[in-house]
Amino acid sequence: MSNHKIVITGPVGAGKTTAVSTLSDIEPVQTDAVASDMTAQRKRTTTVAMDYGRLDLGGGEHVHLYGTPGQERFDFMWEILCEGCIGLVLLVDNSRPAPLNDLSFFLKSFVRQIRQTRFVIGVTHMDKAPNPGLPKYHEILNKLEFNVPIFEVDARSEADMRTLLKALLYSLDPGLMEPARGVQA
Amino acid sequence: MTYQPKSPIRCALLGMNASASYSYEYCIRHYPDSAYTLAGSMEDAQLLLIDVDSPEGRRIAHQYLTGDVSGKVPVILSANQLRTEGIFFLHKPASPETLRVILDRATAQIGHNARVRSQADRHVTRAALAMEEEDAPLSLYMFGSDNDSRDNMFFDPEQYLYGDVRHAYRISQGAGRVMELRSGTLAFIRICARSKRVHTSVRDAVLRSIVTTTRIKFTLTALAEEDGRNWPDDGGTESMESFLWRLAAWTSRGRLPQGDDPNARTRLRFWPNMTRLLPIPHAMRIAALWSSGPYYTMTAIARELMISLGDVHVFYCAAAAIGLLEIEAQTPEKTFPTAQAVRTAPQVSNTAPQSQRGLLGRILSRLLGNR
Repeated sequence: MSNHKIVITGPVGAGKTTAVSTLSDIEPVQTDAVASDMTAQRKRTTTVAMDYGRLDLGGGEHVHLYGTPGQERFDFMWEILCEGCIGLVLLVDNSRPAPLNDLSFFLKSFVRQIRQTRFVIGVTHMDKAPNPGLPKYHEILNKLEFNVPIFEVDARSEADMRTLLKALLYSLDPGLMEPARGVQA
Repeated sequence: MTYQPKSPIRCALLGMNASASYSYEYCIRHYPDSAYTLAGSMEDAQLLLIDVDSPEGRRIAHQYLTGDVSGKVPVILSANQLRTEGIFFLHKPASPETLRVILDRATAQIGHNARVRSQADRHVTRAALAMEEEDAPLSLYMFGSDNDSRDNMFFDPEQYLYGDVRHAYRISQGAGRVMELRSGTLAFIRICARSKRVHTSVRDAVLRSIVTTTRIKFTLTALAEEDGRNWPDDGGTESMESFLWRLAAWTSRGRLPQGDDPNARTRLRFWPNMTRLLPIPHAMRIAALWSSGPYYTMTAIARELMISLGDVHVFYCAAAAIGLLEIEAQTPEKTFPTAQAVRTAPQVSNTAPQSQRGLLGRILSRLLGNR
């Protein structure tokens, strides 16, 4: 039996808990607590340790989905959760005051994991806050010499989250082919 | 001898889903000379367009082949290459022009059948009948997608709606006005460069038919409004990016815009916003490889991913339409990529180790719902 993991990270309110829940084959495990800091202005509860979900691949094999806590004071959890992960999903909330700064901050914070594996970016809440548009994100990524998948997503949408994960897989290996229906690769 | 029917030829669309049916209906009803119309029922039809990729279509085709639907000329449609001896065959997807060609030939067959029946009624000899048969139009026509031959490798964007839209966008940028492309009283496409939005009354199924034909002309006018602020929220408004991506992909059909170098070494500057754009075959894999660093030719991409060059061309057109491609400054002299070139294009190495590939494949399979 093999177990592998994908980590979903990003600032508070970006939709990490929702994304884990959307993708998971099991009822997700959440470690929410009532928000007591500035987070309370955005939502009632917040993740304090991690969110956990699971993709079942069959044959007892799983991919664990970990959602990190968003606040910087829980950053000790980030490195623990990322250890040995297949890839990283960064969700950025476009409705926050400075989403481009959030992007830069998380890229810097996860620089070690990014060097070791691949990552994809999902920008959430663009329906409510269309600006900055994706070209602004591209500019920042371009300056840092990253050309990675960055899509507008709704963390509640299974199709969006699957597309994001598929982009992660193809980034890891563009030669990957879609397996024939019913046949495992 | 050309058969000139006195009234429009009546066609029946059989075995098709609603979307395909809508597209074919639009083409049939909008050919400029009104040569074709839709039949009220299968019994009333002269031409049967049967999509045999559906169970219903296969059943009807079987009925015809076993002689239960006599006196009608069938055209078999399929995405697969079928060898239909003695029956008209149209390979999907087909452009309105290709459809028109085969409809015209099937019409000639109707005329031929009518003449043969008339002569048989007048008790002509078997010998005369045999001679008439020799003059019959070819009974087997195979039409492929338009990227089948080298001659069809390029298209002129200016001949298609895609070119009209690009032109309208440029004018909208310069004039700071909303531009409207209009055909008839109902079909319009409004383009606002300022807000990078499009508003159209044309449904996707119809739009797809329109973009592949060079026959439908739109008139361009500037509207008084400066932006699309007052456009109704009727589902017809979308971003310029997603509209252009779709138009370019549909127009391409495996071809490249005229003037573009098929051997250019190119790079994807940014990933397309895949969650909000029309899915294109292999788009994710092409984007992953093309964005991974060096410049690649399209043939190298096709070879590495083991996909058809036509699929790479479609992606190229769509990505170029929204400005995602960057061409290397110095490119080799223009030449046509041949099958040999595809086979011998340099190998690119951007793959995971075999052990990880197995795992990634299983995750992909799970995401695609193949468990």
